[in-house]
Amino acid sequence: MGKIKTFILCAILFPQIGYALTAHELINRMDNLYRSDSSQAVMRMTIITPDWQRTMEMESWSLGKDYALVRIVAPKKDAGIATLKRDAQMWNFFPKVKRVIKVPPSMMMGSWMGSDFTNDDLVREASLEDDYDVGLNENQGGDTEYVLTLIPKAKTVTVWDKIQIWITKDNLLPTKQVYFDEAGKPMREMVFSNIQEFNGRKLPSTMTLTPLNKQGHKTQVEYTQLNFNVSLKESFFSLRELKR
Amino acid sequence: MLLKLAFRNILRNRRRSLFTGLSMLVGYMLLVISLSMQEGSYHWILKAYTQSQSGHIQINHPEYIEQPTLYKTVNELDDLLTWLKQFDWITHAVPRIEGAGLVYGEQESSTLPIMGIDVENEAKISTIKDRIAQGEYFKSTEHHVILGAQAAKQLNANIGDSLVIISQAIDGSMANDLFEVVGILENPQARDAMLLYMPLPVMQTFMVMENKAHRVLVNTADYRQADFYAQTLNNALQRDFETIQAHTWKQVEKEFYRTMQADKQGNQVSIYIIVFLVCLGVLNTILMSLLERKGEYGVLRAIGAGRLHLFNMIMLEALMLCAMCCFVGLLVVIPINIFFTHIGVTLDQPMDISGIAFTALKGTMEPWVFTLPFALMLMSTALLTMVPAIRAARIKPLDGMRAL
Repeated sequence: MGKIKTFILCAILFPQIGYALTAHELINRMDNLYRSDSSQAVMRMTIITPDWQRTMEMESWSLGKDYALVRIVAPKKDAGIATLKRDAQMWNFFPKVKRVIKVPPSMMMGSWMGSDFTNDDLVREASLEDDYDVGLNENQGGDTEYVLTLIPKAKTVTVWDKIQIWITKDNLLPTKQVYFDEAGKPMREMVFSNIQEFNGRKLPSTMTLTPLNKQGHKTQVEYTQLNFNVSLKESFFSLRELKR
Repeated sequence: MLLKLAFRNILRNRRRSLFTGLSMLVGYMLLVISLSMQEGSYHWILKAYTQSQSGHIQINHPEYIEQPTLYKTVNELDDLLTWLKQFDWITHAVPRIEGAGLVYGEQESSTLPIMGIDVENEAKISTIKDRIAQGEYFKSTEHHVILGAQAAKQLNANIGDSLVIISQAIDGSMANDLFEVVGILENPQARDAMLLYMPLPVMQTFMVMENKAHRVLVNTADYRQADFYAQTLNNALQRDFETIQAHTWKQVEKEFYRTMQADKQGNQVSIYIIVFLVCLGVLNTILMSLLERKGEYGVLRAIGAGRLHLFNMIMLEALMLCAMCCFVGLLVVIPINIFFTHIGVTLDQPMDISGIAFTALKGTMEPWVFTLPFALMLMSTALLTMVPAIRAARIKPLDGMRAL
């Protein structure tokens, strides 16, 4: 009896297991991995360069695909610096000068707060399914992994020619995401590790982004807290809230 | 005896001597003036350029010249500046910081290069203070900025506007602060037209670079001694400071130096052309005079003058004439050159060299400008006279006298 219960529970939690998954189901899962309808998170970002190294703590909120707010909590010097994302637009707030500054389109590929993440990553990361055509290669990852190949749709403006995501078949969690440039050369690699349970969901809590063309550079993001389906309204993602 | 004879020969046919002499005189003067203008102009350009742009000598992190990045700094700046005071040949030691930032004006924004300057000392070595078109130079070390003409245009900024500057500090943190525009520079073609200047201490705080800089310009009395002093400085630096190095302006501004050298070589061609033209004139008159005096040489040979004697006499005549002309030329050219050196020729259109506008061509009073043409004139006269002189010396007395 107990065994049956476990089986039913498993079937509810991991309905995918047991039959072949489509590429779309996988990418959808990747898109929603760190988000639900809404989420709230506390994370630590460590940036390593040959010249300096620093760690920032921040809190973030998201609602659907279109709204996100990130605020730096520590160190003191940067505390209060915040970024708001609404649709494809982005604003930064700098408490020292008390100004909200819209990130111009020309700066989208610029670094976000000195990290290896670009502003574009923050705006776009959540909508892979909308921006890319997804293909699933059954054989590339062997028995243990799926490999998703993402090719940008014609309307998508991006610097990447191709993105590949490695997903473990067992738990359907990503292990690696590689970004390729037009010449087909891998330009950066994001590694997912340190699986932990947040709010009943098992997730890689650490993401390490390594640009492959810049030696000695690395950015690591560690979730220390992650809550799903928190009550947030669209009005929370406003310029007024950004300045708070 | 030979000298006297040669001298008399010169005086004997004054008109002929005058013509030969005049071509030598004019040639000498042309050479002096063109050399003077060429050297002088370069000198003035280099003087202005090295003084304000690169410094005669520059102290940097050893890799900064090749690869300027924010992180390759001169550390312990205050100690270094104090240490530099022990050298009495240093006239100025001026630190600078170079960076870049996102600058948000009231309407427009732009990414601009930023330079932090030592407010008081920078004004002594560069022309920045005189090039302010609107507003004024830094009065104190507050959060004030001066914009190049292009930068101001791009930001659509006016005096009194406040700018938000965002950049990444040397420790990786987000540098962000509010600044007020106090000055705007003239000339959108200037080298620093896209630049934003701010006082050094302000930039040090902004970029978390306390007691650090990227360049320390070291000026001496004369940029031409930079090689020697840079060596002296490097020996001393090695002993007292670990990670910094002195570079001469030639190393700092390699491209500029190379262009200048190439340009200089090109100009040497014009000197050769002048020498060639003068030679043609001199050769012509000397040949004429020898032809005219063919009979005379025949007589001289007939009464027993040796070939060598005749050769020496002709050579001496030419050289003496040349020397006298050069001397007269010197007397005439000195005041002209003084004029060029101190006043110069004003150019209708200023010549632009790497962002420095030169409004006048100037000369130089260096001694070699006078002596080198003198030597050149004597040498070419000697060479030119030699062939006809040998021919005259080998004349058969009878053949020569037939010309009488």
